[in-house]
Amino acid sequence: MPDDDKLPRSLSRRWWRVLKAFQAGESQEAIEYHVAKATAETLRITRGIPELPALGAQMYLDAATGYGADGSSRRALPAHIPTRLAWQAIDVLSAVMKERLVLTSPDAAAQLLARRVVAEVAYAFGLDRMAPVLMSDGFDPVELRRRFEGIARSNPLGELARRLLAHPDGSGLRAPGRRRLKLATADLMDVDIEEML
Amino acid sequence: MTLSGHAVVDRLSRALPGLAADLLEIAASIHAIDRLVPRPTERQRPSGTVWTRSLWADIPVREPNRWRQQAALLTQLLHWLTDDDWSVEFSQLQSGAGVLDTPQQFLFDTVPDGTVPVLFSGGLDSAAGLALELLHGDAVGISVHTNGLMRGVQRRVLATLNEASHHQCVPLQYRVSVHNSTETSQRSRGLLFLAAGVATAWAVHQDHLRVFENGIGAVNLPYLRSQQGAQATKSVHPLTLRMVQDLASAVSNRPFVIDAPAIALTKAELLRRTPSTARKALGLTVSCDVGFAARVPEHRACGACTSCLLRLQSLSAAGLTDLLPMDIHERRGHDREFNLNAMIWQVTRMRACLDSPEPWQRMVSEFPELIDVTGLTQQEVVRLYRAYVEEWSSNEDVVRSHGRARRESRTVALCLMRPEARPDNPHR
Repeated sequence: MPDDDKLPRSLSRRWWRVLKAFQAGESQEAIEYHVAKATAETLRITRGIPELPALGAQMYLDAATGYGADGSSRRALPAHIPTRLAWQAIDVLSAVMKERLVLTSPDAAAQLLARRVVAEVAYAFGLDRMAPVLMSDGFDPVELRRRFEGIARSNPLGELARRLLAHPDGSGLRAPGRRRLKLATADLMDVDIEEML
Repeated sequence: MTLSGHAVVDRLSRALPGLAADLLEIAASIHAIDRLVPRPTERQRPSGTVWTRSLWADIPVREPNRWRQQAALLTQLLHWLTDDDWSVEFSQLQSGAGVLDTPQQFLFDTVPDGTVPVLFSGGLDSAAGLALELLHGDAVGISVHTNGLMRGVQRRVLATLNEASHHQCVPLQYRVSVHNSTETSQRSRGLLFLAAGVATAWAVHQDHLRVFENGIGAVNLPYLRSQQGAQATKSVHPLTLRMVQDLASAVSNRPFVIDAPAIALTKAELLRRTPSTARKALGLTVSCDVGFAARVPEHRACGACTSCLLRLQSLSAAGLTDLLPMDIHERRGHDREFNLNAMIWQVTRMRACLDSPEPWQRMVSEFPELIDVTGLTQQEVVRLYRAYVEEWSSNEDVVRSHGRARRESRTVALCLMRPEARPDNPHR
C-alpha cells in the first residue's frame, strides 16, 4: 500500500546556521555551541515542556514502584512535539534502563530525562532534517552519525538540559556561551589565529 | 462521497450483513471527512505542534447502540492512524436507506465455504501474498478502488495471478470516491481497506482476514526524527491490525483475527518466496505514492518517493531485476536524492544499533516507535532489521544509479530545448 510519507525538512534560521557551519567545515566544538543555541531557540519558540520536572519525578516513581511499565501503545500522544518527545523518552528510558532509574532520585531522573529530550529536540528540529542534505554534500553517513552523537552528548547540550529544568516553559532559556580559555601571552604565540576565532 | 458495494454483492450473490455494512459505511464516512478537511499548514498551526485536526462525525448506522459501546475503541484507532482528535457519534439509519443495502434476495452462495479472505491493494506485497495463498487453495481478493485506473490495475493483476495458478481468486472490489477532496494525506485509508476486508470476511462467514505486508513497510519506522506520528503512515502497522481486530471482535461479540503472515519478513524476503509463475503479475503491480493518481501523465511511477525506492531496493535484493521499472515519471518537487539519503540515513542508524552488544535496547533507544510493535518478538524485530540493513548494503548502488541515465538524458534534452519550449517555463 503506498505510504505517502511526509518528511519535514524545513530549517529555521538558527538551524540553517548549523547546516552552514557543517558545510563550512567548522570545528566540532563550534558546531556544538551552534546546536545548543538553535535548540534553545526552538524550545523558547515552542514554549518548552512545562511539566518536564514533574514527568521526570513521575518516571522515577513508576520505575521504583513498577507502575506504568506497559509503554505508550494506546496512549494518545500530545500534539505538542517537545512534550511528545518527552513522553517517548520516558517510554524508552523506562524500557531500556529501568534498573538504573530505580537507583537514582527524582531529581536525577528528571535530569536524565531532560538530557534525552534536549537531544531529541535537536534531532527532530535540526540535525535529522539536515542529514540528507549533508549527505548530498559528500558527508559520509557513518561519520555524520558519529558527529551527531558527539553533539548530543556534548557539554553545551548537557548544560542546556540543566537550564531547561530551571526554565521548563522555555521562557528566558538561553544556551551556554562559548567559553574561551584565557591563555598566557607566551602560550598565545603558539596558537593559530584561526583556532582562536 | 460515493461508496458502492454492488460488484461485491453481485459477485457473492449475498447481501452484506448489517454489521458489515455499518463498518464499511463508517470507514468510508471517516475517509471522506479525512479527505475533505485540509490539515493546517506549518504556518497555520501553533509552533512546534503536529498536523492535528479536531474532527466530529455523526454517522447513521443500522445498530447504533452496538457502535456507541465501541466508540472509544474507534476513536483511539482513529487518533493512532491520523493524529487527529476524533469525536464520533452514531444515529439510527432508516431501514433500507444505507448505501450498501440491497433489496435483492439471493438463493445460492457462489463462494465456497472455507475460501480465505485476503486483502488486495494492487501493490507488490499483496500480489505476492495472494500468489502464495493460491498455492494452497482458493481465495477471495478484497480490494477498494478510488478510480478506474486503480480498478484496472487490481483486475489485471488478479486475472494474471489466476491464469498462473491452479486455484482461483474471486475478485471483490468496492468503489469509494470522494468528490472535491482537498487533503491528500488520507491517513484513514488503511482503515477503509481493513474495514472492507473485515466486512467481506463476515459476509462469507469467516472470522479471519489475511493481510500481506512486509514487516519493514508495515512498521514503517520514521526515516528522519523530524517525522512525527502519522507522518510515517501506519495503515498496516501491527498495532493498527490489532486495534481493528479488537474493534471487529468487540462489536460483533465474537473473536475476529487479522493475520499478517509476512510481518516478520522484509519485502525482498517475501518476493523471494513468491512462486516464479507469479512474476508477470508482480510486474503489473503499482507501489508508487502517486501511481494511482489520475493527474500523473501516463500513470508512470515517479521513481522518487520512498515507496518507489523501497520497491526498487526489494526487487533488486530479491534478484528480480527484470521487473525494475524503466519508465519513470519524475515530478518537480519530488526530491529523489533527499528521499534516498533519508532512507540510507535510517539504515546507517540501524546498522550502528544492530552492531552493538545489546541490539534490541539500542534499536528501541534510537527508534522509540518500536515500543508500539505488537505480534513480533524482540528477536524477530532484530532479525528483520538485520536482514533489511544487509539488503541495502548490497543494493544501495543499484537503487542510487537506477534511472540515472534516463534522468541525465532528460536534463540534456531540457538544456537543448529553447527556453520558451521547456515544460517548466510558466509562459509556455
